[in-house]
Amino acid sequence: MKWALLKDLLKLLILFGVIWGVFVIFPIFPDKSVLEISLEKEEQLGEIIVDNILANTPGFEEIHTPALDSAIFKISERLIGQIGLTDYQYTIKVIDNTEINAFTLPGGNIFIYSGLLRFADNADEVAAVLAHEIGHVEKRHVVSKLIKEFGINLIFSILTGGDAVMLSELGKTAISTVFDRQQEKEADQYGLDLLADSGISPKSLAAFFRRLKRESGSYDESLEILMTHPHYNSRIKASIQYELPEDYKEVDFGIDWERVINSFSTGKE
Amino acid sequence: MEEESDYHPLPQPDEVTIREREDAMGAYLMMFAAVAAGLPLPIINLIASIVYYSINKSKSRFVHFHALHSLFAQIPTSILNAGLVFWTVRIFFFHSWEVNDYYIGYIWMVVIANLLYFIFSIIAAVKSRKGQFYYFLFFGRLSYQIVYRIKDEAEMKEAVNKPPA
Repeated sequence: MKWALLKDLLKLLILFGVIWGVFVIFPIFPDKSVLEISLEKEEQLGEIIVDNILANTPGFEEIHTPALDSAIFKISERLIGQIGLTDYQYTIKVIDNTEINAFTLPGGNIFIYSGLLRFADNADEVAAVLAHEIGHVEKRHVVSKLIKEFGINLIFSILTGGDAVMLSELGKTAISTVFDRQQEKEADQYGLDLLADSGISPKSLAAFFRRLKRESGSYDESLEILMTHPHYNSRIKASIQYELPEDYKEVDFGIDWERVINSFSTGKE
Repeated sequence: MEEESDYHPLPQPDEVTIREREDAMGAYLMMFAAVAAGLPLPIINLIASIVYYSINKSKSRFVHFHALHSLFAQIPTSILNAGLVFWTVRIFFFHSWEVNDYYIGYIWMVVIANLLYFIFSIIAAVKSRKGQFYYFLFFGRLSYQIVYRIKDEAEMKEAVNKPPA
């Protein structure tokens, strides 16, 4: 009887061990569908969306000045150089728009509004925002969000020449940058690590958010849980409390930020 | 080697009274109420089943068996559910762990374990209402061993009815 009992117990343990193992090896989870879109497909999707937005959104125009291009190149080169192995070919574009915003589209396409550049005090703060957006790219948050919103089939239909209305909707959703709280936290963490690796103080993010908070007024703390983005306060705290590695050495960009802003702001303000 | 004589004879369905059948069935059905009330605190279910067992263990062996059987079957699902609550709290409230494939796999395992528990509990409740036995894997044998095994000589003597001298 004891042996029979042991045998039964063993059967039970094996049964549940196998069930767990099977679901670990073949996970069934909505976010995993992101794996169904290869990086090549993501790049292709990014290209289609970017072309569509640039062609069909009135006033959505890129800005180029030698000073601006050089500054963006310097900042992005420093950050991208520290990512390590990446499958993405990053493209960073500055758009003429007074809003303080930056967003990521599939395939490593990052857009920054000129309003954000004007709002930033220096190149370090822009680097902090860019590092956060790179976090969204590397963690494949945009594709995951689009799959969640539209379903994998629609994404594939767009890739194979789906209708223009759906493509426009897809673009709007991709721009709206409403990531869930966990994704924002992941991107923040990734961004802070990247800043530290690049010799840029993670506190730049805190400085940026502090001013943003001052500008937009303070929120009731209790609202934090309801927000899709972590509240400014928690982001400021995380950036201030970030533990720098022992070999951290801050390296100045040597960019005259005021000159960069003046290069594209003349006559606009 | 153990023999059949080491165990008390099992009562046949026509020997089990209606009251015993209902008490035995209650052990399984009571769990559903406890599960509903206990979520997401699995420990409440366990406490409820321990209380039910304590009240019913002194009744007939048939009732004792089913109460213990139901209690034992409750333990692994309670532990698995508690594990899931703990893991989830670590991820979403303390952010110290992250959602990974092990966590997702564990959720599925817990869902399947609970489903199996519910299905088999319903079968056991129906069988016990008919005065029959139903054995879950491992827990059935364990409960039978504990409840029906004759523990000592005195108990054996006590159990034997003799004709008048």
